[in-house]
Amino acid sequence: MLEYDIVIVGGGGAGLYAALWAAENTILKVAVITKVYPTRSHTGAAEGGINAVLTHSVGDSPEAHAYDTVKGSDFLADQDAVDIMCKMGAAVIYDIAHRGVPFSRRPDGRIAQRPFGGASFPRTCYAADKTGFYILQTLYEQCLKNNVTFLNEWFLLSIIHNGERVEGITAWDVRNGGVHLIKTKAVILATGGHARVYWNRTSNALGNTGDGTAAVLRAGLPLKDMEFIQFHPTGLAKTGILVTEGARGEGGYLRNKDGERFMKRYAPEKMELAPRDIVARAIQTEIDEGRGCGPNGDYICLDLTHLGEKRINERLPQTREHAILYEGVDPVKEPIPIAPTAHYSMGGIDTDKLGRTPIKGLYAAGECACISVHGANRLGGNSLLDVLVYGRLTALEAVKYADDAPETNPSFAKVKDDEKRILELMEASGKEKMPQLRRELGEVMMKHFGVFREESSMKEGLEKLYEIKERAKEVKVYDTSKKFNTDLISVLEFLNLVELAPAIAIPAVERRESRGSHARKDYPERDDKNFLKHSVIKLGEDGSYQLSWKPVVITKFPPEERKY
Amino acid sequence: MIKIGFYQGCCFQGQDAHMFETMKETFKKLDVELELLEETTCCGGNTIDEENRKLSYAINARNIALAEARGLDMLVSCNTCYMVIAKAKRALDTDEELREEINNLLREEGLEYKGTSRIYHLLDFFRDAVGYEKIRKAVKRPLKGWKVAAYYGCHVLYPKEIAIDNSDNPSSLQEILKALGAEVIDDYEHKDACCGYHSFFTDKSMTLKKLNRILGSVKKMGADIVATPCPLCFKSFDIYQLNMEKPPMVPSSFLPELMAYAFGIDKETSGLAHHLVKVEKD
Amino acid sequence: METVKLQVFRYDPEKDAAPYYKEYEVPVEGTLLNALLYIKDNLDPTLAFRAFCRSEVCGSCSMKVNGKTKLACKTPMKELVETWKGKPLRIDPLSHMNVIKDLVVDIDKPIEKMKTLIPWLVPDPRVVPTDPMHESIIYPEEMKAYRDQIHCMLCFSCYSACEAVEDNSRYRGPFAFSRAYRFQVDRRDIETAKEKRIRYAISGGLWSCVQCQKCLYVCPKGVKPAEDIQNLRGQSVKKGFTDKPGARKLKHFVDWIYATGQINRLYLPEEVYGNKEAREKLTKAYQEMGVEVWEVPKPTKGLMKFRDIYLEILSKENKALELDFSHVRKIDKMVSDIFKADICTIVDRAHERGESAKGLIGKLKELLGGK
Repeated sequence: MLEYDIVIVGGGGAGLYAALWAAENTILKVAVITKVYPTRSHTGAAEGGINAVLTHSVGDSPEAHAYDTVKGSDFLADQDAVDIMCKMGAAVIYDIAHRGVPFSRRPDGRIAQRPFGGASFPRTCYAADKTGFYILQTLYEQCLKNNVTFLNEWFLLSIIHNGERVEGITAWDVRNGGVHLIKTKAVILATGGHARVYWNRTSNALGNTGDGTAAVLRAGLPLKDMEFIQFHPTGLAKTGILVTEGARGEGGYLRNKDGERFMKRYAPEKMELAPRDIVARAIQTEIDEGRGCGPNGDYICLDLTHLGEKRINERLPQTREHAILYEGVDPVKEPIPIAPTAHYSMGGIDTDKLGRTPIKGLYAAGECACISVHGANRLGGNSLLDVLVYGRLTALEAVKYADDAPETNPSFAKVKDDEKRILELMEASGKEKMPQLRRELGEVMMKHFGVFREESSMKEGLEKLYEIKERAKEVKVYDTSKKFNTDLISVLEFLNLVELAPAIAIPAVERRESRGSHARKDYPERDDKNFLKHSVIKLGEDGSYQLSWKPVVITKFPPEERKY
Repeated sequence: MIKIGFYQGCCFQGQDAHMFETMKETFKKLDVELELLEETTCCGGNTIDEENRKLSYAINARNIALAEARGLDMLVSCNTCYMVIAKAKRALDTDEELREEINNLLREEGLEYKGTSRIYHLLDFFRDAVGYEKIRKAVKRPLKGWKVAAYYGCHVLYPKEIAIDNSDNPSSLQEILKALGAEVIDDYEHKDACCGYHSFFTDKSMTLKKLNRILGSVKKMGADIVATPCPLCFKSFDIYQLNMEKPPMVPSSFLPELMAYAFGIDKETSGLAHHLVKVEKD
Repeated sequence: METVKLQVFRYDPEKDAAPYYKEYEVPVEGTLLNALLYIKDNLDPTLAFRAFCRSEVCGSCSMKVNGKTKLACKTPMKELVETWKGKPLRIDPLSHMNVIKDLVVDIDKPIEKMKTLIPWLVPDPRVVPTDPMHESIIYPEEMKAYRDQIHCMLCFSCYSACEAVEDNSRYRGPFAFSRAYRFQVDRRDIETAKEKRIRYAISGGLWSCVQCQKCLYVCPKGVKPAEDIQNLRGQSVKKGFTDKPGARKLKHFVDWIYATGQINRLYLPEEVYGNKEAREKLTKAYQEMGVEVWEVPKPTKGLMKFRDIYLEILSKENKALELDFSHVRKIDKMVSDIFKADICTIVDRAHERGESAKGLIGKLKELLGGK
């Protein structure tokens, strides 16, 4: 058994920032467990930037940022949490800049900011088009500097709690094999999102499988607003790999097969810089109505050619590289084929405005958490901010809690359970093949719970998800070795997705309105009277999904129509 | 007849000065006239960069400008000189500010770097400008029965921006050796290994370990001789080999020497007779 | 559909007595990572390799193809098939690290090595405000100094391809030097940390780099470690760490090139290692073969103007070493002693006659009356 005071699960932006703040503010024993080496986490793929009102942001204010965020969220975000996040913006930006993040600078040496979708001021700080990458690398450097303990390549299995407080976790040591009990007073989950549930059409890394979120679900604890999945408007047509919003921020045009800048029909004022959900729906509509490009009319063109080679190389080097490598198109010469791609999970582990779950000592931060600061739709540039603000806040909360909390006494029973579960997987029938079933899962999710949704289709989809969940019991792990068993990990990740899929589908069916990323053809309007509320879903004792609702915190900004 | 500016570097100086005459004669047999760019200086050997990189760029802007002033492309026969000059050319061609700054200095000498001359290394010169067929035709004394290990060294293959062949799977050297009638040995791991030449004066132990590995595997493959298109690799093999505790005594040759010999030039003039590790084969 | 055979390194230390290769036929489509995922999904779920972002930002999937280090997600299958002309592709784990299983290697050692070089910002309180609400001012111009280095994603491709790691187990690795150098040129980093990095870099093999440039070639992100190592060497010499063979070699280059336009390989052993014997032995060996040996290189035509350019740059730029004019004068004297004339005369008169190389020294001496 391993013993710590605070265990942080996940080594991405939220996990590392939490580790850093915990390490610098306590003498407690802190460890980060992460299924991939920290610098490989998906924060590294965040390109565009991070929103914050800085001291030199003329005319802008944290309040304006909060308003844009709340409006962007289609008024589903909790305004007390949004307030905290927006007010902390400058503090986290300056902190990470002081630690070495190479933010792009204005000629006067101050941090540069650019316009981003849904923002009323240019407040997105950026470091070329690799903001998340540089933040991740810098935080890792700083963790090394502070001698943070890392359990690299360990996979979270279960969360142990006694209904009141957290006692520990179990995890699989990927490198050597074996289930381990980790005793701890506090756990910060920073395990990232679950958009991989749309397996075939997502911008996410292979491992964004909602491991922490699924563990919370299995622990009988609530998830919130799971129906809200953000589709990024610009995923490369062939792979779903992301083209940053920065490409439009820099002045890129979206064109349909007639060469028309169609955004003028959807958001005449903001055009290409309208919030993501609106742009994604516009693109999907163009494709659905036969105005898509290419032989199958299944994509739209993102045109950067007018920006010129110099500007593209300077501001969007990675975009150019990816377009050439994965799409075979040089954006200097031709437009990039793009289509919406599942990108971000607004929903996740239900926490309060400080990242606390209903279980004492258990926190969640970053994409796995639903605080909720993004509500029904996240603004570009707000996820890195969320990651840092809540990484830091949960660390401070965990330190405060673990300082006084008595020793825990987690039972070994969970270890036995998990060992049994793994053994069963290795001895399963193998009647179903995981990769095939995983593809099916992705197809069902995209077809029935994609950019546009509709009752009968979703109900059909939900049935299919239950069916997949049944069939998943026949999935077998073929690799029986202990060391670096990637077959086992892939299956465990897949099973996490299978468990999470209905948790997305059920509230999606029940939310009979359109709000943010949740766009229903049968209920095209927002319905504040009935649905200005969070969906909360958890597993009952019998393993059934139980849906309930809870109110949204509204302080300063009363709901209004969301127009751009 | 192709006329090309020949950059001598340090390798055709001192005890190797006679090699230029041999090169000239050898190239004549391929209808190539070498014009010695006598005002050129040492490329800085990839060492002057440690002093200051701009100095390296300036020195080589000047070297290239001397070829340009004659309206000639430039042939560089040493891997390192080639790499250093080609890197400088790349920097000058892509950085207008740098080019202007350096040209301001060169103007005092009546020179200007324009970027009009192509920089050739031996291998791409033979492939692109001369052609393997022409080499084949010039052969008077085919290297029949010579088992020659093809060894590239690093600075013609790396970095990618200046590589003169497919860096992963190069073929130009083998083609030339085949044209000379030799039996080519190239199926060994170390044909792009570092010869250790440059580390002899920074960390000598590295050189000796590398020579041991390269020459050891070449010997195991049954090679009579190693052929390299780089005079520095050749020196590492021929001279530094003797610093090894148990030198495997594998003979080596600078590619133009073998060409000269195959073209009918005698062993003495070709340079093959002047090696410290004797070339017994004939 | 076009296919190609992959021969993939397999080794499970728990089960296999020795590594072996297993052959898989994969479509020539997309990237090498696609091919590996194809194997895992369709042919053999037991194959172990690392992969995560699939879009060349995470650095997980580096490996070797026919001995050459590649990032799988950045390597188009078509390109591989073209390079290797359709022959089977041998897929191996990275070199210089222990194999955990199949294509997965232990990267802890290089990370530990990197840590010794203080690869993080140690803020100088005079530049970085301690008040967290105060911004530190950084000008876009100064960020150019580390614009390449910050792209390192820890894929360990360079560590695998490195010729210095191969022969010096203490050598920290190309990436480690690049990541350390990034802070050496950051104004926010404190001077004391910069000095420490240099000291640790030297003990970590700074002078063992052979400058083969393979790290530049294999880096999927355009980092240029070999060049950063040159920069670090320059910094170390500038900071006074001159008691290293490499530092003396640099001095040789700086002085001789200025003095004659050329280095003098005959004198290198002497000036670097204090080894006079080497020159005598070499001279004798060549003379016995009838090869004329020059004591000094033939001074370059136009040398005086060349010196102007050289000095002009050194006078303005940041440099590792000052020109040692007493050394230069000694070289001048050597040249004039041999040729019995001052350096300007030699250069000009020799070139006026357009002498050929063979027997030049003798002719020069004759010409200048130095018999």
